[in-house]
Amino acid sequence: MKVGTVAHTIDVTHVVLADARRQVRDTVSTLIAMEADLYVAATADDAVSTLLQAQRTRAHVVVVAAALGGSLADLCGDLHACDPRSRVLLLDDEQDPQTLLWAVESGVDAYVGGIEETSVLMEAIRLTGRGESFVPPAMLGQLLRHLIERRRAVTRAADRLNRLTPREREVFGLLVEGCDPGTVATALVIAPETARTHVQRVYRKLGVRTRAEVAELAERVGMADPLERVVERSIS
Amino acid sequence: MSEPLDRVLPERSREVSLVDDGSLSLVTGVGRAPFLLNASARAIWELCDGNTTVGELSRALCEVFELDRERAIADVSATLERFRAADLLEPSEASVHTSPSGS
Repeated sequence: MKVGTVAHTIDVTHVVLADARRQVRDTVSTLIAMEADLYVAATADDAVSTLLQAQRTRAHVVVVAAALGGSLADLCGDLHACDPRSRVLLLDDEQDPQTLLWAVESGVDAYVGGIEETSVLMEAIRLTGRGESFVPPAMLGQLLRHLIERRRAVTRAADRLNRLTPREREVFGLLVEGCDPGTVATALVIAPETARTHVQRVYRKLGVRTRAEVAELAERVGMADPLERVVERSIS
Repeated sequence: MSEPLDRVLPERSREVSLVDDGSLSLVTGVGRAPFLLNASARAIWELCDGNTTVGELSRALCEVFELDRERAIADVSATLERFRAADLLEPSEASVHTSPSGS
């Protein structure tokens, strides 16, 4: 009687693990290594080495610790620019709604809060590697509500901006750049009193009281960048 | 009749409540069979507050799960129909008025 073995083929998900804390890196690496279908291709301790390792290993999933630091949005952008198929999972120390919102806005594909439930992290890595997104089920409702509220705030801010006259939009742009009324007058070649009047009208129409609030509103509607304001002016 | 995207989500029935033990989410009420919610249904249930539109919710789902917009709208609508069939929602005409926030 012949005895043979049947060879099984397992799709292995390659992972780059990024965490500035060596002990956490080692712990999570060990946990991942225990899974037959997951493989830690490399580890990294900062954003630059994360990007380099992801490029070198062509990992399917980059697990980034929330504690890594730096701009998550920049890191996600760089990873996707190098490899559009690259998927990013943010691993947080505990479930935090604000961190989750920040993660989604930064372009992260999956979020896991806490590593106590190892099976959740492993399954999230697998889902992420397959091109799916993962959010802890209990956090999804609140996340959606936050996203909806944020969009409503952007819409309200944009509606207020639409009430500005073309001149007032110029004043708005200068205020966002940090100009005071005197500088506005110089830039627009108008009398200081006229500049102050324009500034007050802009404040009133936007429902703000300070230049800081003007800048915050501009940030909310994506007009903090001078180029965006130039493009917006040329279109209107 | 308003477009589906402008349709405000109905309100949860006041006669039911959500029971959540971390692994399962159930909507229960006196004399009612428990209604099991998966993760997305649970989130939609939470937003059945009479103030959120189908358009707003589907757009948020698209942002989180990279879904096709039509698919998200279809999923939300199908879930709401299941809620209605199980008598989990407040009866109202509110579902056809337009939200002031737009969608």
